[in-house]
Amino acid sequence: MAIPLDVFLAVRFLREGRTQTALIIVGASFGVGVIIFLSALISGLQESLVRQTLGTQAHVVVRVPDAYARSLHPVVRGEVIVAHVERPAQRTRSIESWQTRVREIERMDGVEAVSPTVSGAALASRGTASRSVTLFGVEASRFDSLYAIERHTIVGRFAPSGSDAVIGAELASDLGVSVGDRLRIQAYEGRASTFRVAGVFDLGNRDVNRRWIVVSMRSAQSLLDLAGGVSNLDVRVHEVFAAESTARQIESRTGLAAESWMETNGQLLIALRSQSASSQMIQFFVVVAVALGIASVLVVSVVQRRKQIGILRAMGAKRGAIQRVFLVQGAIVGLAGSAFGSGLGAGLAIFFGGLVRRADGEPLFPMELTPSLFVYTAALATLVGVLAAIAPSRRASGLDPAEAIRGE
Amino acid sequence: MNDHVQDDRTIGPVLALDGVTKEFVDGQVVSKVLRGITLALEPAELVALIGRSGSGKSTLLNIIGLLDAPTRGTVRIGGVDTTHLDDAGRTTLRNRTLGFVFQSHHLITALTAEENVRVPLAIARGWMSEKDKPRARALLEAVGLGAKVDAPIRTLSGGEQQRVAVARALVNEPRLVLADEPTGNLDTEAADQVFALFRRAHRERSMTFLIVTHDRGLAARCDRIVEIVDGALVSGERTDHAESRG
Ligand SMILES: Nc1ncnc2c1ncn2[C@@H]1O[C@H](COP(=O)(O)OP(=O)(O)OP(=O)(O)O)[C@@H](O)[C@H]1O
Ligand SMILES: [Mg+2]
Repeated sequence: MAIPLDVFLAVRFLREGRTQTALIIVGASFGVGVIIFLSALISGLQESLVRQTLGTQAHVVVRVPDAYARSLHPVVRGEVIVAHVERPAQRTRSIESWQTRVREIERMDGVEAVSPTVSGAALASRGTASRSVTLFGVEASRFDSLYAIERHTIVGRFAPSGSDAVIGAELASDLGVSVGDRLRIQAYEGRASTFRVAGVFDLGNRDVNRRWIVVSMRSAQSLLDLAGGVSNLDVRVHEVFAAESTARQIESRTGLAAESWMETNGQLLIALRSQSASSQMIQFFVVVAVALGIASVLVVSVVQRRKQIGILRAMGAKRGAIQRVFLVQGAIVGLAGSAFGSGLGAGLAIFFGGLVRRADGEPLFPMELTPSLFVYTAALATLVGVLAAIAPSRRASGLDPAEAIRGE
Repeated sequence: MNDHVQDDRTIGPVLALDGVTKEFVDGQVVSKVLRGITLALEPAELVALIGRSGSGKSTLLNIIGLLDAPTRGTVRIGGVDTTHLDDAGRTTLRNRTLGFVFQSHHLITALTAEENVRVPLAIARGWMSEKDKPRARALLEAVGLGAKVDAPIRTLSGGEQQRVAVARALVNEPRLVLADEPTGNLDTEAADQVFALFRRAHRERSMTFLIVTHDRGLAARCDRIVEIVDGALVSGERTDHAESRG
């Protein structure tokens, strides 16, 4: 059996410096553990926050661009146009040839599903009780692939067709209706009609449960006076944080206005970003502390072995070989640290994740432990180990062998 | 590189020093330790280097071993002028051609006796190989350490450590062995063992030895004695062994 000399010496040097080696490996393990735990916590929290927010929101909403933003005159340079642009009445306008648009957007990279929707404000009433609501006219299966209403239907079925409507749970109790009961829907700028409640859903969002009424596309079109048209295309993307770029892409390809959830939820996004930034800052300091620990222990190891390094050089070991002995030590410490630290971090994450639960049974600290997190952290720890070993390894390889051997 | 260095064992001197001078400058004080040393070692010579303490023996050995550069003069090893070699060139030459035994042995304490002996072979190859074990063992047995092959360095006595260093210097059969008081820490018996090993390597492998010693008796058993006096070499003292040499 043969082992590369640099690896052989690195292992033996580490083994010889027992306590020091153990200490830096423990240090590196804590570092890795903290990074894994913190990352799992932050991404878990963010994931659940985003999931809650986006559960009842399209990732990208595509509409007809606002008319008032366009000037009727082409702008000629140097010409001053004094124009009072009259804002047209807030009447919902239909997306032209939306069927083509749906297919076009569906084919775009990163897009998971598209749901054409006719939506508008309305008043729902039964007897003396009435509530203002948001009316959605949809193609049931497409709408469902965005909001998973079928799965969240608690009574009846998710079947918005003909004169059947599906409504939110809070609305049902506000109006005192249940499956089979009738209610009247009056569009603010249109007609009125009577629907039968086919199902009641609970999407876990109070506002949604209180306001949403889902009917067939045709019913909504006639109520909102938008025959054959749709007011918006709701888009779901694969990667939620790519929604913004997808929105821009949709705008440039279709000329329609597209708004991503990130624009709609500016505050949330800022919160997420600053959370990530502070987590990264903590990780950075942990990395620096671990790197300094590894470097200082290796420097001591170089000083202690000055003469032995000198003799290795005298026997013909090249500078690079001496350097590698210490770089490999850094790598080994990093790897060992990531092995123990992964266990530690995962243990902590699982422990805290199971510790406190919210009223709805979801963990208070949702943890996201992914294989890529472990791979990333192991690579980071090994890299940090090697980088931390650079200064000590230079010091070792720069030793003058005669000097190192002479000084008693 | 320099394959001819390996091949021309019998052609020309193994070592040729020409006007080697060494001055140490410490602030204003310049101390001239070596003043124009000229010396040639023929293949398969066993030469003793003697001199008072502080006369510059170790300094000269460091210069020959390419660990230190002379202030003036040239060092040729196996016909190669080392003056303009870069660090990598000197390093390669050291590993291929030279063996060292230092005044203090500097063994690698993280390794066993036998592993220490294998290190020069590993340096040459880049790999620490189990195949070299028998050779390392045989050398340790030859210096009377057969029982301490797997002993950690810390558990060995000073004399034992010195003998490990001797075995290490011989393992890759260098053409020229530079030994700085190799028997300084040893009792008579152990010193005899080490010297016998030198003799055998010298006879069987035609290796050349330059041995620094304070031991007149040991010096007398070499082929030739050179002495440093006031930084210059008083050379040529041939011993009886020179004639009886095979
Ligand atoms: N790096 C250095 N800087 C300054 N002076 C040095 C240096 N190395 C050696 N000397 C001086 O050179 C002189 C010769 O030293 P050297 O070690 O060669 O003597 P030596 O003959 O080996 O002595 P010993 O028999 O005691 O080992 C000494 O006076 C020493 O102080
Ligand atoms: Mg000396």
